[in-house]
Amino acid sequence: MKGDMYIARAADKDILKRGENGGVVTSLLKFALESKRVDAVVAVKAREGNRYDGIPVLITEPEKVLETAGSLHSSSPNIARLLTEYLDGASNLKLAVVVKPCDARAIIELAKRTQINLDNLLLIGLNCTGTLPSVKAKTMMKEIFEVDPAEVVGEDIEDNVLTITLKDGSEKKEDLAKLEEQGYGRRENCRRCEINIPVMADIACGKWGTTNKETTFIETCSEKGAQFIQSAVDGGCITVEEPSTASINDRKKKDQAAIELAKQWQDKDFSGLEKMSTEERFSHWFAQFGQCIKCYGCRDACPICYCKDCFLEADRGYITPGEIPPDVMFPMVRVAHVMDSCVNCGQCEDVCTMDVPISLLVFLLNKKMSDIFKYEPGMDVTKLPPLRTTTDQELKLTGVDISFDF
Amino acid sequence: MSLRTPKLVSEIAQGFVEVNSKDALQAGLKNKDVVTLATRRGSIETRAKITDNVPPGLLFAAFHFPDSRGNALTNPALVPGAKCAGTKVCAARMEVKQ
Repeated sequence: MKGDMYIARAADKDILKRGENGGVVTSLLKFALESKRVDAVVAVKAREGNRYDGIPVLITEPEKVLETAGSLHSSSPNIARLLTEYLDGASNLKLAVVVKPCDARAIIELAKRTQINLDNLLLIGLNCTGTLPSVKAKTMMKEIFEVDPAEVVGEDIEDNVLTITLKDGSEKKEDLAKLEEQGYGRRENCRRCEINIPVMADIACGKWGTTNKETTFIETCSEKGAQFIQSAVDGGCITVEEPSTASINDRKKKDQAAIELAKQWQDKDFSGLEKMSTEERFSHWFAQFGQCIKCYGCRDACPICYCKDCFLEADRGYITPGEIPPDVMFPMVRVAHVMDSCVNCGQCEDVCTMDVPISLLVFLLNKKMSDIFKYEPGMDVTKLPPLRTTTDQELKLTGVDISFDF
Repeated sequence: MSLRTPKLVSEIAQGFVEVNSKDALQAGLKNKDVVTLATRRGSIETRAKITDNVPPGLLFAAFHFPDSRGNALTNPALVPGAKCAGTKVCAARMEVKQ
């Protein structure tokens, strides 16, 4: 049932060998296809063996699942957007989707907007303490780790240390905080992210709480997830045992440490902005927006931006056509439209050709808004975002202060 | 530009020439006035966009809008060795169309 926890490993020896922590996720995906519980699987694999170029793949043949075994830390494909743009929001297709917490949260926010059919999805979540920006990761391998990036076959983040594994089996370690001080390490949005265990998915899988590299800790987070795990065990695809109390506590402790670190990053990234006067804030952000070349990249990458007929298109008559930088209303409308549902996936900033820190702004506003409305995006499909539920009357209630004077 | 991409057409559908504000003042030119640009090779009509993005004495026009083909003005001669065309820059005269 929901909430059950297991220490699991693949029953298949090949998968056990190829998988990262006991090959559990690979086994579950294979089982989902073989047992015809899903029509296809969405996972990520390295394009032509290049682990800095992870691409999402749609797999229908069980034997091909093995190609996606192992984690790719230096890529963060836009899984939610993939579902809406290319798979019609899973309207007619049953899918098992491997997700990081931000992917799962974006999918849930889109389900609330009827863009994704959650009933057709089995979300297999992976614990995540952050991904690395691919180009910078390659530079980091060369400059800091002093290795050929192509020699790297694995990355791991544990206890604030980034460990890489090379083809010859050797390992190299660097302090993550030190790397991040030098401008390397994780994507900036990931550093600020507090959600490490994907409890909003159907199943949360990860190495926290395990004692060796041959097992995965599983938590079933929905009835659907619990039933699936039960049938995978009954079907002989994975073997499970009950985790010890020490295991469960260790997982909790690691999660808590990662949350603390994220909060420190939030304080660091937000404090400068919060200290600014209103005038300083305006001039700071207007200077940032002044770099915009109106490529629409942030809008097109944002999983929450789903309108087919966008208000910001030139032919809608709202933003002056052919003007660069566009009027400040261009970024502000985007921010206002998505800030209540921002899941801090960082896709907007990844694609921004001008390096406008748009993800920082939207996430900061989202945090302020979450405090006011007690709404956490992407955590519960039954809770609708504040912009959908707050009425004009509520906004006018006396004694309710909804100003953003933080 | 072919004008066959609706998204781009809705951004900018017509050509223009960028004129520095000092030159515009001297010529008695207002934003969006129609001007004639002429060289010994040909002439085009287009609308003026007054901006300090270009310095005084310099005009800038794109050459891909069908309504104001900048290459009607430029010199198609090639550099003998490199075969690079002189279609990027030339001296031109601007007159405000009354």
